[in-house]
Amino acid sequence: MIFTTYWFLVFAAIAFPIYWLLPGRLPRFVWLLAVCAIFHGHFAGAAGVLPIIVLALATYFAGRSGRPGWCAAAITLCVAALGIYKYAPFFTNACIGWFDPKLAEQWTAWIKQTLPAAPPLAISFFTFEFVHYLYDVRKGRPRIDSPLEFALFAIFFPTLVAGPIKRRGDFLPALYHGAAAVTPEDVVAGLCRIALGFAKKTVISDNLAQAINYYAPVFTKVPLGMRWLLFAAIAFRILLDFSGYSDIAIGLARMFGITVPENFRWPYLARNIQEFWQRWHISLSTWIRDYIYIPLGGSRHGITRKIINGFIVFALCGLWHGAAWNFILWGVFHGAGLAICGNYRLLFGPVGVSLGNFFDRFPPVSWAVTTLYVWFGWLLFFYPLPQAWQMALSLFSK
Amino acid sequence: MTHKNMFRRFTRLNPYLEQETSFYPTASQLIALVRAQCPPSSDKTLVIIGGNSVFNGSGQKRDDIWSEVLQRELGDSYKVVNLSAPGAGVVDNGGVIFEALAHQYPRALLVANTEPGYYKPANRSAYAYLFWDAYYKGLLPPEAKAVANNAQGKPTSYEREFRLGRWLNSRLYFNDLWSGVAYRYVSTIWTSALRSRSFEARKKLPDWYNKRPPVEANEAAFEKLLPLRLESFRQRLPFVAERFQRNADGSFVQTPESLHEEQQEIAALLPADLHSRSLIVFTPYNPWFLAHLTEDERQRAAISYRNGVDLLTKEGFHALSAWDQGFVLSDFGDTVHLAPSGGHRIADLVAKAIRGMNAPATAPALN
Amino acid sequence: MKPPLRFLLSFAGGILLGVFFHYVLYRISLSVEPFIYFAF
Repeated sequence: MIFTTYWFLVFAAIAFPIYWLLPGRLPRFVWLLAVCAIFHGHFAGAAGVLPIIVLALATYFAGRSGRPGWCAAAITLCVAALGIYKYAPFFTNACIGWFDPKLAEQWTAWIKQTLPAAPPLAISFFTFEFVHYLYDVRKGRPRIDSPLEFALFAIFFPTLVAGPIKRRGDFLPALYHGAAAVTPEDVVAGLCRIALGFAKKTVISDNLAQAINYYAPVFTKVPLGMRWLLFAAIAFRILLDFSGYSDIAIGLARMFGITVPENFRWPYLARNIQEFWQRWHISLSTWIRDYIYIPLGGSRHGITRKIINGFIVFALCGLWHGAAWNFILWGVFHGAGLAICGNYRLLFGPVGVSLGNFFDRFPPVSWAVTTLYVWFGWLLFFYPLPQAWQMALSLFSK
Repeated sequence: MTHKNMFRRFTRLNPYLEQETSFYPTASQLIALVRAQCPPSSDKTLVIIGGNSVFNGSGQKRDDIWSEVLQRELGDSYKVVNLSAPGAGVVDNGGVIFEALAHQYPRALLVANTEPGYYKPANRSAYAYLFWDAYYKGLLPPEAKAVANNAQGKPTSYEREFRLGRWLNSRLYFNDLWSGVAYRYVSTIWTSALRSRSFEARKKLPDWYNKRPPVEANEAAFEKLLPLRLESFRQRLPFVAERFQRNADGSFVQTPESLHEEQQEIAALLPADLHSRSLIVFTPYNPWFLAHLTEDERQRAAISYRNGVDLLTKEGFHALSAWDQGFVLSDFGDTVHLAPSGGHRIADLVAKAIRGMNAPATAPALN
Repeated sequence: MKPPLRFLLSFAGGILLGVFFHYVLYRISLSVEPFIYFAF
């Protein structure tokens, strides 16, 4: 993780005090932009920065023109860049490989030669923020005219690598507020938040990760109690790793006096899948809701369309986590969970209604069912299907 | 945590006390250890052991480790401190600490093992952290700067990040403090080698090799290792065909390029004035495994051992080759690691060589 | 809360934070995967 490098700690030790010492808004903006550029340049390298500059310029000028057509074109460009950089080999294999494996192999080899070994750093987060901005401008919401503001929105380093995904409408006022009035209280709150994030990440999650890697291959052979412990460890590992990361990002922004959106709200306390997604990676799920689910029609065209939309959205959500089938499967698994959770009272008639009443009356039961469902999802997320299935079965056998 | 020795009943850096289990003693801590074992004021000759798992006594229990045998053979006028570590290069760990202490201990010697052809510098090895730790803390003599800068090409971004961490530690001493805490009170890293005991204070853990099953030095045990190990033998430098050319009579000689390369590596191992105080030992291969190799391969290895000794001697090092020194199957626990009887044998050889090293200095009148 | 108590508490909190960040410096230098094989 980028935040757990010495380079970053030294960088932060220089970047923050100078920001605090600078008088007034403009010098702080300029300094902040400079350190963001250094951060991005250092971790992404030229091959990672150039494509982002192109996308950012396209987004900025399309947004500034205010024309829906230009915005649509820029959205297409951003999505295409994401598709090509991140998904080209996967889709070549998945689509062409289906009818001509040999051709797919040749194409994949060609793609691997042409594209850089890794996609530009954080390209999916850039794409999400740019698409959000362009979509909003297209719908007539305010645009960003100042290149300085836009650049800060684009490469604000605390959230650059893995979110939380920012919204223009919240971020710019927060940016202005921070530059004008960052307080010692902000700094203390930020530091505490960062400490919490590091504790989750380095003290708990990294240790869990080591233990999980060691035991996963022999999961079905360890005693039953140990299997359940590992099952929980897998779930807590990803939660603490990711929410710890978000804590660090939110804390860093706070030290600039800038509030960015929360990403996690105790997701394993959710009592149904819908609620889980209101608590897990919130900035992603709301982005998906606003920029994919609702444009697709959301729940406005009857129950069948609603369910289909849900599946599409979650398959995409899964795919977003990585270009592999197990992520898609994980997404579809959650799509199914959401479809059932949102509609079973309607779909299953009186049985559904009484089941619903039962869950309402016994929250611990609905919590347990939801938690089990979500945790099974993590097996699909991390392991190939046959292995995940074996692991799941072994939780209920001697 | 830094200047006071924290190690208790120390015999070696067994895997519970080194990076295999995410424990990284710092240069300052190892120096404090050596100073406690052999104070600079004492009239004993300090012998620092460096090298890899063979000299670490892999497979020998705490009480029959070869370096204790060596200590007994050398007697009270010497103090042996074993700082070798699994996977370490010839001047890692022991070598770094020797370099740091060489001026304080004018009679100190380094004894380290390797295989012919393997002379990795301490700044880029598996234990590079220790070199850079000592380097940034200013513990190494000025000549070490040359070693630090003998970069083969520009440092990678990983290396830069790694060195930045060691530099920060030389200012903030976080590794010193938290390794000290891990040794004395509580460790904070889960490791697969320790599992449920991962969080115990390292001082409470027994020697790693004490709980290992006794070495089975017999053909049946070796038979099981054979296919994989034979393959790995063939990839070891002393056997690799590309490093040799054939004479008209069918015998082998090492190519001039590989000899030249080795000589340069050897010259850069330690500052020049320390060469004559260092004994480099080529530890033996298990003859049972050698017998399964081809005649050509054995011939190449024998030449490598001979050439290695020549090159080391030319650069002013003392060199000892254990090739053809009478090691037999039962001296080994596997391909290279020594069973207790092999440990005795190597201790005999090393003790003799150490006395030989000191002879000219103590008896110059004889010349 | 009385000002001296507040001062003391924030002082202690600051020390705790400092100690923790010092620990983070140590923790991030540790490689997550061990690298060498074991003999025996």
